[in-house]
Amino acid sequence: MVEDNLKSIELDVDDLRKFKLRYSLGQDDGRNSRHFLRIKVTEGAITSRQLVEVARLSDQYGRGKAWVTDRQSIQLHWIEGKHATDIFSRLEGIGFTTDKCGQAYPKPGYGDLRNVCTCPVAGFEKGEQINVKPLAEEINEFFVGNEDFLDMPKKFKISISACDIDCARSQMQDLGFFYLEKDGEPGFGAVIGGAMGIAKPGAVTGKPLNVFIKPEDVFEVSKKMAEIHRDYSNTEEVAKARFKWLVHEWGAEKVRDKLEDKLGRKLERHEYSGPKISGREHVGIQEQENGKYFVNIPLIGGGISSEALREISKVSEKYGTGDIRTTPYQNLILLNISPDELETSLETLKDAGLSVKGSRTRWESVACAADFCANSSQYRPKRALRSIIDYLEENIGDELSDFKVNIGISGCPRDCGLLKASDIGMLAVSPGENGIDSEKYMPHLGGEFGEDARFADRLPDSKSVDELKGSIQNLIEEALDEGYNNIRDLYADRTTQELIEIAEMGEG
Amino acid sequence: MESAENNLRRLDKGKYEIDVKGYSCPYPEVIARRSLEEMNSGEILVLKTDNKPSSERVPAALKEEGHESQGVEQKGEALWEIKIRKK
Repeated sequence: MVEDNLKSIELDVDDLRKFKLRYSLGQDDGRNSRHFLRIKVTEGAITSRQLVEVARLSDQYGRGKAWVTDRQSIQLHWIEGKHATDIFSRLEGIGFTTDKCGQAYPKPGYGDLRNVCTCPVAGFEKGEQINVKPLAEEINEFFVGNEDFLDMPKKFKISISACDIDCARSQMQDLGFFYLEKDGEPGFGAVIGGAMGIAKPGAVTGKPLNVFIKPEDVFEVSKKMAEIHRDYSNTEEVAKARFKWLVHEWGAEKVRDKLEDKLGRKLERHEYSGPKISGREHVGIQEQENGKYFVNIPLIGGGISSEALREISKVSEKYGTGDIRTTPYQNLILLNISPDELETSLETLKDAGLSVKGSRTRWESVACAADFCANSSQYRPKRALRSIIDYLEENIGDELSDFKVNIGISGCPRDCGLLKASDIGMLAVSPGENGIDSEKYMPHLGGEFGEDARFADRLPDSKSVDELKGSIQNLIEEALDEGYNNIRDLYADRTTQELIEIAEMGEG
Repeated sequence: MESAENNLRRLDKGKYEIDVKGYSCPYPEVIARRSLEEMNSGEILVLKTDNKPSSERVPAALKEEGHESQGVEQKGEALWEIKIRKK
């Protein structure tokens, strides 16, 4: 206890100083949750043993629930500040950190490098030219806890994939690397200044850097680009503090010039607009390069119980190698399942309530955690998404299996659910008075990443989830009747007004 | 951003201040709790933070443990002083 004649007391905060650079809790403001814990699963890589510890943390502090995010982290909610040091110690014990999300600083500053979105099957995919996992690992290891990069004007987001579907969505990153060949040499193209949210200049896809980047240069380019953001992005106004504003003001060429100044050399010029295909998931069960299989478990919105995490861990240990991946589509992948045990592993997962069946839409759609967020806690996008997908599968049946249509649902214009880049996007507008089906959303059509990247068009009228189920079904069935296996073919073939009429989305 | 997060500075009899600027959540709350452990019942802790959510969350969290919020004052664009009376 303090005595009267003492001027000050020295607190023991050595543990906090140790944790400060690598751990924090984010702010929640919904569902009686005060804080969330965003476990940064670097390269999306988590072992079965690490997953079991996450399940334990979830049981002890997170009400037995966890969510895979679209940056491949695992998020727990209902975390109390008084448990923070215990939680951080345990995360440290399994080799994970957090990022500095959800701090709501009123001025620019304290921005960190977020989890590098990485192709989850890197190192295992058939026909892969470059294994990006070590490249992402080098970036993550450099930036985690690095004091030189913990006070950037705002967060900085990087992705890297070498799959031909750019699953890590390069065009929505501050810096996104996608696979590219130049004269037969494997390497990367890069786009810069992409982001989906409302900060100035608004939602924008990444601008091409128009240089060919060799794998051995990925780390230096990442480091120098983060330096550019740190040193030149706006520090006066929060709304202009994201890297996209600097890219908007300078133009991609000037950013490239600055990058080359910092690198001390010119990069090889190579013209491109962006990845040809982007924003697709590694769906279902696929054979790996080594003859084993990966199994992608669709979670719809990323939500999973601690019990299910433990079951997944057991299946991975028993039938695989204990290697698991989180994906940028809020799913979990089990790697290295032996061919002989594939059926048994699927049966075991099924018995645990984890089906690996369903439409492609089930794997490729995302929804935000609006219900925990101050801006939108009255909405339930993840429940809406599940309700819609279940309805579509039941009413369209097997024809929906391989049909390409993804749905993105967001609770607010920050668009963490990527509605603007989705075939069918939904923005929450009013809560449901009679359950999830009465929740209302503003529909958007026609968003996509890739060489035809565009943001979805907002339609004139908001609709309930119940109405939207029928509307989406109408659109898909029209496309199927035309012989299309991709909703984008229908969009290309019809005017917006015609689509509204097909979907019966006009004023009701 | 400099702070003196280990220095529970005595302002006056029964009143202490700690500066946790530069610390994101949950550290202001954790440091506040550790500070209160070192203080006598009835004494006032002034916590200086630049983390806006902390200005709302810290008083609420400590109130649940029986401590009393004595108010939060915004001192600048990015500076809040949280006053807590130890139970």
